[in-house]
Amino acid sequence: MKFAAAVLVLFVVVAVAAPAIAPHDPRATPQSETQKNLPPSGAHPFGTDQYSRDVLSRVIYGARVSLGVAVVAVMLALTLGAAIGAVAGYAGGWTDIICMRVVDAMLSVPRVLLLLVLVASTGPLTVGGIIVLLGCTGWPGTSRLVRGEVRLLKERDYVLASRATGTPEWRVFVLHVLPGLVPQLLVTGTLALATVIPLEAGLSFLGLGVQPPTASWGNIISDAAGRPGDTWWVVLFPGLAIVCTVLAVNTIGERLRERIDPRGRSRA
Amino acid sequence: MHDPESRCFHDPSAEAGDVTAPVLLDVRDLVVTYVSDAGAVRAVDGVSFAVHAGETVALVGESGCGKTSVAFALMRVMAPGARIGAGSRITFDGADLLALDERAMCDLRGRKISMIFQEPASALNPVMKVGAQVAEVALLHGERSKRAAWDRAVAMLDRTGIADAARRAHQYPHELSGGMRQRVLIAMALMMRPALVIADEPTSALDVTVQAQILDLLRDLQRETGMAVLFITHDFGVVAELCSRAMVMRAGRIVEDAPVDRIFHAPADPYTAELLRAVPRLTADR
Repeated sequence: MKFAAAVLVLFVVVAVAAPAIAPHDPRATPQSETQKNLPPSGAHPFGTDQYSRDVLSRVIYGARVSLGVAVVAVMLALTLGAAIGAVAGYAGGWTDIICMRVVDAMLSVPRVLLLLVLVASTGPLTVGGIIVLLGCTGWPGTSRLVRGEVRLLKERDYVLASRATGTPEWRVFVLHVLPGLVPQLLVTGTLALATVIPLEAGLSFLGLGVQPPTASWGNIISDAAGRPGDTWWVVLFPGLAIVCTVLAVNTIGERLRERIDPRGRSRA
Repeated sequence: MHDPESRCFHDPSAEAGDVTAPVLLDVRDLVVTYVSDAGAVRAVDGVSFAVHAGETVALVGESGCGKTSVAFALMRVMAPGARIGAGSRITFDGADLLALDERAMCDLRGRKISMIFQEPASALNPVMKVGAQVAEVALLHGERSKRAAWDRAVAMLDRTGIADAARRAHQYPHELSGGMRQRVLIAMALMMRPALVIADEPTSALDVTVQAQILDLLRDLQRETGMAVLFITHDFGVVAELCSRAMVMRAGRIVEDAPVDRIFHAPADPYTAELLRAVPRLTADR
């Protein structure tokens, strides 16, 4: 847990301080032929790609894009999921049935496939567009969890008691239901981060996500020349960054989940 | 502990209001149905009764007879799937409760009618300071200053017999004992000095000694504020102790509505007599 947190903090610091620590301009493409596809060396610790760009600098700047896109997309997905789940769970009846059938429909199509179809129909997207796309395909799971939790919470005695003192419904929700959702959202959000990072990387690798020359961990990999084995450094380092981040985020998410597991929770 | 015969010789009417006072709550043909996939159940099946201002009335009956459904219907706080029947009429203080919109009902709840819940452990939000939960009632009903609401909450907690109320108000429910939590709930219910308090088995979850303290507290507060209390219970000891009149409920209907003396000495309905016989006694008289 501590190690995972340290790894994550390291990546966040790298992302935030990218301009200060990157040794080269990630987009600079020296025209010299001799700078192409250089293996790791003192001048270029992660080597250079087929356009002579410094891979280390691209990985550092890629952290900004990859982590930024993932975090904002997850926040969007959580907000949407929480809102839709809360409405469904709170209102019940037909609202609930319709919301949950939409969720079922969305969950029945693999998310990658859905994303590919959507990007294919819209054409290349800006970073903002990718965030919206990832956010808008990420909410169904969250909304189902939130709906379940809301249905439990809204029948708690203290919610009834609050209503019986004249609390209007929206205030009952803000005061007594919403705080109960926070732990669940925290865990869901962390684990969602671990699925969104590789999703964005995959899309970018395929050329459907973040567009070059902007670096993201996914599209750096696609800049390897020829077979990946020929310029292994262009594939390995951004790949390692993705794997380390996902593992760290997943570890943290699992620990958080253990913390709020109902069996470990004192009964309210 | 609860021997009704030894208790009912004291004169309950002296402390529990009188029936000549104006009618505060009038319930006619109340029907509550629960609709689920398995079908509809009539939990309350045509109940009619009145509560006079300042009176303490018991609604007695076994578990599942519909007592609590009556209470929630009076507050119009309905469980999912619960519906009040179309022919039902509830008149409170001259107003037709079932005709009020939700906004007017919110204004009424907690200010004119309030409710004390059965389980003090679960009726308080575990992640909110108890003082804030009491102060919230004042804030809902007109108090604008948070500071003043907090002070009123502390004063109210103090009035319900919580020692060191100013410090206790900053604590969370799990830091208080069951009896203290019930006092917090009472403070919430009585904050706005309502005309009617519905007490739904307020002592059932408590130890016997704490039960007695809470009953004493309710009696004192009732005398002080002149509120009417609808006491929902299955405990005839409590009925004899506090109430002037008792309504016996069975399977969604009121089978007997009479002064407590009569209930104990000359129950008119065979079910009432049976319920009374079910009360355990120390003195074996068979």
